[in-house]
Amino acid sequence: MPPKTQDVANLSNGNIYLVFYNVFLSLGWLIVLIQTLHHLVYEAGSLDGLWESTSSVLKIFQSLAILEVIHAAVGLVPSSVAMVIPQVTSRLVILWPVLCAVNNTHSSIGLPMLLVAWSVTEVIRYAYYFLSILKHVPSILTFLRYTLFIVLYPLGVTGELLCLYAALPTVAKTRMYSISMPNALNATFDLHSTLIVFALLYLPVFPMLYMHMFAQRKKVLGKSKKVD
Amino acid sequence: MPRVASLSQPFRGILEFDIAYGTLDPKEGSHKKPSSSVQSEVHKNKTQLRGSSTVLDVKKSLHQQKKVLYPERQEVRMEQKGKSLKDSDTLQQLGIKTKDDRLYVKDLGPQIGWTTVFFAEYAGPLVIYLWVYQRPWLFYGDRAGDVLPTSLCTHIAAGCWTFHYAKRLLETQFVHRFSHSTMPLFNLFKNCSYYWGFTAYVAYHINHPLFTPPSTTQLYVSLAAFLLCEFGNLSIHLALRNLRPPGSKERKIPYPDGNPMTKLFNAVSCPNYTYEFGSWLAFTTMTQCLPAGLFALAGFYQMAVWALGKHRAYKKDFKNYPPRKAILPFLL
Repeated sequence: MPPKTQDVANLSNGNIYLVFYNVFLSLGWLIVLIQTLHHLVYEAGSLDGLWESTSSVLKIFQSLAILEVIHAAVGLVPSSVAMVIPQVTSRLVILWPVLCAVNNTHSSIGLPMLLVAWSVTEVIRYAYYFLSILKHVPSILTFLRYTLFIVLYPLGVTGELLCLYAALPTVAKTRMYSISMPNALNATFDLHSTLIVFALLYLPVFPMLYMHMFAQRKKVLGKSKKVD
Repeated sequence: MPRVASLSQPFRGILEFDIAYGTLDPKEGSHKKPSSSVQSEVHKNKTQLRGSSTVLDVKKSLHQQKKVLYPERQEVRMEQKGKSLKDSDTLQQLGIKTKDDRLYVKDLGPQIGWTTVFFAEYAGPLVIYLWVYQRPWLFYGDRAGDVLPTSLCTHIAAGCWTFHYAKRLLETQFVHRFSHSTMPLFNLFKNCSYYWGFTAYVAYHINHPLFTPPSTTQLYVSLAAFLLCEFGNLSIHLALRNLRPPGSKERKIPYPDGNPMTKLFNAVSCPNYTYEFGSWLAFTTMTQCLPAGLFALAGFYQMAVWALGKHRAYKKDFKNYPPRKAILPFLL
């Protein structure tokens, strides 16, 4: 059931931009997903070269998510900045200082886990968004968005923590991206401690977000059941 | 008789709570129940509410039915998503008369007294800073104390930090008047994490053996600014306290009083927050420490949110509200 012409014509400029944004990102993540699955199937599960196959596209499309902070800040989307920032930040912390900076994370079993979890989630999420703007979300998509998370969210979190753990020894030894005293601003930054604190934050935050998704699922899927 | 419907956890759905609407005062309301059945309800529920009963009486009755729901934990409303009713409102004023009239009760969750919260929030930073000031091995390893002598700046910073939080504790005890007696328990955990966490973060850097103090001029000018802002903040707190005498519920526009520091009221609605930010800005330049700057910024963000809300409320309540900004003169 394609959207009505009138519905599309009535879209604001902001929403037209969002349709393009969400379509673009959905397709980008689809590429990451295909690259990941292709590698895992054809390399019979070997992790050699998995990072090399997927990293270019992954870096582009995950980094683009920063735009979502701006979308929330200017009110283009209903999400609050306070919700978007932690989500985008956590992905970028795993992507840049962990995966990109430290090579031995590429041979962690966490890598395929997070690649699958992230790409499947994002393909569905961005597709859901652009179809919502066009007001034609197929119920199967709604179902997938609010059901697959049950497996994908823990899968992704586990993958992220495994990669982070694999990175720690190298970060500690090389003191990469870290600043010590003395300096003019009397500031320090220790990437190693920061990553550990970051990992510890998963303990309270993950259950909260997971439960929130279940509540959302009940609200959204429960409602559509009543309508039928 | 009027029923009290309850929302949110721990009650699922509507809690039907029969308030026996008594007939003891024949002048009350238009209820049509004959006295005999009302008497039996009174006997069953041990409650007795009339037109002159207040919202607080309703809360107390509900507390008797549900032990976990002490009055401070309840918010009573006319509509399910409506505004909170005042404890002093009477059922008659609210138009609660017949059995089809309803009140809604929201469970605010476990509550904790304001003074308890403030004590924990402010005593923590005091204790933690002074502990880190001793250069404990937990933060700095052994021998950190005798690597480099503590600079004058570090000593003064410890003095300022202590002064600020000691002042806050004293104000909580002797100056401030709180409109609510409690707040949700979760806030205690959240607020303490913020205060204690930032204290450890700032203290670690200023008391570090490799801390580099700024020039003596920068140190003393900043110290003067810090003390001035602390005095300004206290002046505003005292002025606000005198604005509403105990027992009165009158809301008034704050104006400058005899103290020249209160002249800032002419420029902003919440000069206490302006001075507080000034203190932390001065503390930052005094120590030339980025973590202190981040702490000042975080505090400013929160206070700006509060100031903008307060400013909006003032403008709504008073048609003749003077032209002021919320927190930063001429700017915000």
